[in-house]
This record gives sequence, C-alpha cells and structure tokens, in this order.
Amino acid sequence: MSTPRRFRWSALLASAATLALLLAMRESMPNYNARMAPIVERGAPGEYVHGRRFAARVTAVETARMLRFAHSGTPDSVEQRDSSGVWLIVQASAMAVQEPTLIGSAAILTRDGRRYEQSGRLYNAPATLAARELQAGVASAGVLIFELPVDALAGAWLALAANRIDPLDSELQIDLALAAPPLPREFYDLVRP
Amino acid sequence: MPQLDAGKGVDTGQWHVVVHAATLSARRPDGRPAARGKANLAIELELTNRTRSSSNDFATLLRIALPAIAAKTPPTSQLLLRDNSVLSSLHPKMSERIALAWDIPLATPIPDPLPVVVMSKIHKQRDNLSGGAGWFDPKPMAEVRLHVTTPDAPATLP
Amino acid sequence: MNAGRVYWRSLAALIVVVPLALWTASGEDYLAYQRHRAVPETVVAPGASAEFGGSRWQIDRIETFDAPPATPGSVIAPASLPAGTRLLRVRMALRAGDIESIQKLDRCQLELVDRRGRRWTAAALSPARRDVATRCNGSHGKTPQIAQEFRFEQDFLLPADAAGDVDAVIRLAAENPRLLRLQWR
Repeated sequence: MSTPRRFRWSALLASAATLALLLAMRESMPNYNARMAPIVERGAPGEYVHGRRFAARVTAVETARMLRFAHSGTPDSVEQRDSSGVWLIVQASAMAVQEPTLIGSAAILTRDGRRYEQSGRLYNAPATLAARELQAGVASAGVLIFELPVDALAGAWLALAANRIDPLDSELQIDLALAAPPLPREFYDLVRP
Repeated sequence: MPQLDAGKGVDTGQWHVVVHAATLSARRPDGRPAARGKANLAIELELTNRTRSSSNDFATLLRIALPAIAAKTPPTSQLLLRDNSVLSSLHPKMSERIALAWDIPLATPIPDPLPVVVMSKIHKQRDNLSGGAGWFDPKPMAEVRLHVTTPDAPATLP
Repeated sequence: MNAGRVYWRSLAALIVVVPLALWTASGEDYLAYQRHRAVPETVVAPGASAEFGGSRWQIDRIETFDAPPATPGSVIAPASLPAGTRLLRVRMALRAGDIESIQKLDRCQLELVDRRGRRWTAAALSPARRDVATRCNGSHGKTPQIAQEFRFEQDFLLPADAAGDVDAVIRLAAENPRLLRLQWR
C-alpha cells in the first residue's frame, strides 16, 4: 500500500530538465545532408589520398584567363573559353582500388565555404580525368577544370568522389597549396591525353 | 506585387536577378531556328548565384504572363550568352548574362509591355520528405514589365 | 524467491534473449543481404571450356606485353605503357548453339579478375582494330555464326603484380547475376 505523497519540487525539476534535454536533442539532431555526408579523407598535394573506390594525387595546379583547345572531330579548328573569373586547372592522377570506377564528382572547396563544381562549359573539349574509367592499380593522369572568382583561389581544396548522389562513400579532399595563388597565364592549352 | 524596372536587380535568396530585355524572333538566342510553326520569346537576364554551391536551379526562375506559356513550363532553351552555349550550371558569386527562351505559337498576341514575374524560393534546413536542406516552393516575388523587341520583323513596307 | 537468484537467472536468460531478439528484428534482412551478395559464378578449370548462355566458352590465348604491341593497320600507337603496368591481350573462343544464344552476345562483357578480387574491364587504349573481332558479338563484319567457332580479342591494362594471375570472367545480361569464370593458370 502506498501512502499519498507530498508534492515534490525535485520531481518537477527533473521533468523540466528532461524536457529541456529532449528539446536540445531534437534541435541538435543533424539534418539528412549531415547524416548522409561523405566520409572525408584529407591529404596534401603530391601524395596519393586513398578512398574506398579510388585513390588520387594532385601533381600540379595552374590558373589561366582563357582555355584553348582543338574542337574534337574538326581538326585545325581552335576554340577558346574565357571566364568572368579565372580557370583553375588541376593536374592529377588517379587509380581505382578494386573495381573500375569514375570520378563522378569533382569540386573546389573555397575558404569561405563554397563549393564550385567542375565546369560544364567544355563541350567538344578533350576529355578530363573525370570522364575516364579508372582501372584497379593503373594510374591515369589528366586534368580537372574549374571556373571560380580570382579572390576564391587562395586556400582552395579539391574534393573528389565517385558519385554525387550516392553519399556515405569516401570523398577525397586534397589541399591545393594555394596560399599564394599563381598569377594566371593568358592561355592554357587543353590537349588530348 | 512589387514592380521592378528592367535593368534593376532583385535578390530572390538563391539568385541575384537583373532582367534586361525581351526579344521575339524566329531564331533562338544562339542563332538556331525556333521549332516549326513557332517563334522564340527570349528573356535576357543577369544571374548571380548567391548560395554556397554551383546550381542549375533556374528553370522556374521566371514566369511569363502569357496564356501560350503554361505556368510551370520550363524554358525551351537556357543559354549562356558568353559562349552562346547550353547553360549547365552557375557557380557562386560569378555573374553571367543568360537567356531563358520559350518557343511559342507564331500567332500568339504579345502584350506591350509584357509582364514577366520573378519567382523566389525559400530555403528549408530540413525538407518535409527526407529532412535535407534545399530550396523549395517557388512564389511570385516581383514583376518586370518589358518592351518586347522584334529584331527580324519585316521593316515597314514602303 | 530470493531476489539475488532472480537477478542472476535473468542475466543468464539475456544470453538467449538478446540474439533471439536480434534475429527476430533483422534475421530476414541479413539472409536477403547474404543472398544478394553471393555471386553465383561457375568456375572452369584452366584449359577447359564451359557452356554459358547457350554458347561454349574457352580462353583461346592470353599474351602479356610490357610495351604496346604493334597492331596491324594502326597508325597511332602509344610509345609506352604507363609505368608499372602490363598489357594483356586476351583471345576468347566461343561457339554459339543457336540464334537465341547469338542474340544474348549483344549484351556481353569480358573482364579479368585476380585472386584479391580486383576487377578490370578492357582498356580503350588500343586503336580500333580491323584484323580481329574485338567484341563478343563481333565487329567489322566478323560476327558469330551458329555452331561455328568465333574468336574475339580484347586488350587489358593491368598492374604488373596482377598480370600473371588473372581469370577471365564473362557476363551476359541475359544470365544476370550468374557469371562464368574461366581460370587461366
């Protein structure tokens, strides 16, 4: 038999604390993007950074005001692309780990937290590294091309992943060592690999 | 709805938009002919991506107040005027002149001025479906009245 | 009953109850995962042939090169292979049983796999060859015929450490997810 109890301040306090805790948990729960975020592997330029599907290495970084390339299929015709910012050309090599794979997503992460995807303006240009099927243990070299404002260059990182719509996989983030970005040259010539 | 002058900018959240001009022509802005039996109505604008990542979410940016263009019809062509090429995506903080163009039936009466509505989306930190962040719910934000130029209209006959 | 004894009995019962609960909650999913993961592959001993998708398959020859081989009729050839790689030229022989099995060859892929589970698809580095068929379903007018031996050849770029120890795998869309694995050595 229980005896009727007196009102207890401690019980009220405990309830209030529990409610506050629940509210805090609800508010601090990461959203879908954060929960499904890629698993980041960081690395320095010049070294192979390894992910689940592929490994990649940045060998050189260049900037240019204009890109120039021969129109594929039409010899002796030269196309050029200017930019409101600057072209960033990352020379890299990559190899698959186990199975043939593609670099499905390449982007530049800037110091102010923005994400610049690869340029989609290179119709008829020679294929970039992202278009090449990588084979296990066989290094493929090529370029990745981005367009960004000049003031976004300093402190930029490269982010590579096998797929953009398949999260929870590795994303390689490689420092481009652009503390002092190089002066852009007038032209960068894209050549066939 | 707030009125906006052509050439004046407005922030929709996602984009900074400056609507410049409207053109009705037999050709699309890249020089290719409009579909058979149609004319091409092109709106030229300057867009700046204000978000933190590259985006191609501009198909619902403008709504043309013409019965010939149903409310949610995406443009027939989206062009980057710098190269006259198909626009893939726009990168943060990089303004570009672009054209959103619709093929419309030849006999469509065009009011002068033509009302063009700039749409704006809201950012949700958690959407209702998966709980991810994104831009949703396009709503009319401002209206620009544009004089439609017809560059290839036959010159007045003598 | 003594409270201490109940405590220990309950603790002992957990050893049975926890796995049981786990199994009830996700046993089906685990089995489905296992079924999904298992690759039903038919392994064929070196030199032997096997029936797959209505055709009889065999490795005809595998040649290993450490420099790009001269290809008849090709103008451009890479001067050298990437460092640390070998080129394997794989010639497969097949004999299709009927018209249906020839149609199945339209969606077919030859791959190489090694013992560590690494997998390679054909390299596109060699210029288009016209002297031999380069696909399962033929190329340049050389196509498989019913009950006749048909050969096709593909080049693969592999790291040197894998070049001596690979098997050929045939995938046919019509036979998915089954595979045919022909051992080389």
